Amino acid sequence: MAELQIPGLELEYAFSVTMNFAERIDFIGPRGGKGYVPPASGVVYGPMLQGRVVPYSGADYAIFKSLAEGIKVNTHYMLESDDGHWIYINNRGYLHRSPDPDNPGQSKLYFRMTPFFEAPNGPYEWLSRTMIVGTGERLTNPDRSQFTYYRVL
Amino acid sequence: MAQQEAIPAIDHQYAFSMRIESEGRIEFQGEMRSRTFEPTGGGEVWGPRLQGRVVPKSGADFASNNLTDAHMMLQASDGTWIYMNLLGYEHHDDDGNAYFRVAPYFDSPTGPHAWLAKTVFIGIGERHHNPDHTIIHFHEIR
Repeated sequence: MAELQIPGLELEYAFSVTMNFAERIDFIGPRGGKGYVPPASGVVYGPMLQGRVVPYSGADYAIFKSLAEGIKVNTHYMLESDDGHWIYINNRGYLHRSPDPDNPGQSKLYFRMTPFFEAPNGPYEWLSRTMIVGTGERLTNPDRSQFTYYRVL
Repeated sequence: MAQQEAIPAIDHQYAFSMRIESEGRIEFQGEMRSRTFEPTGGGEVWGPRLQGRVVPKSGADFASNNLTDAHMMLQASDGTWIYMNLLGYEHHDDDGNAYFRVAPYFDSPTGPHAWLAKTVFIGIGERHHNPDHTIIHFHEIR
């Protein structure tokens, strides 16, 4: 089987999201750690989607063992495009620090995700049937995250 | 403004491939969504980052409205058990070209395969027939 040609992964930049946070809740329960981090506001920009993150339309409901070991992201919230369409986004992925292969002995942030969308019939329905992969950065003062999303061709 | 910032690139590399045998397919239209049940016969995992097998009869794809949601077990060649949940899309575009892309999410025990449960992958799927099976090539998002 190994002789099969491996199709390459082709990505195309789709859009970016800047998301601002005003509060972070987390706790440990009988089933492990649970986070609740709602978006206070946010902006969506880029070639394929422009709009806003609807404030307090949902949250990251992440799970974790201990926060120091990182989290498994599971966000649910709504976006609104500049032309007035509401779009549901469910972001799945990971946020943790891992060894940096380029700098032995150091770690780097690993913040990667695959969002799944439900968009109404119309100009954004392609979001409901397209794989997207994203990379995130954590920023402080103010508390925010920067996401860059690529369409998987 | 953020709009002026450089767009961060995504680094990725081929990780492994998987053959998943299909043991038939049941489809029906539900009240709200379609439902597909496609049980896993078994299969093989090969490539630089993981080798092993898809455990026969360990799960199925429970797809709904073209959204893949498969659950099954893998066993690495060193005997480690690994749970895999495949989420993604399988459909044909307006030109008839197949679009079959998935993101696998793993649970694996502490040890050499623990990284699977901390890493995002994108899989490129292909349907094959006689006998029915799927081949998925997984790329690690670094």
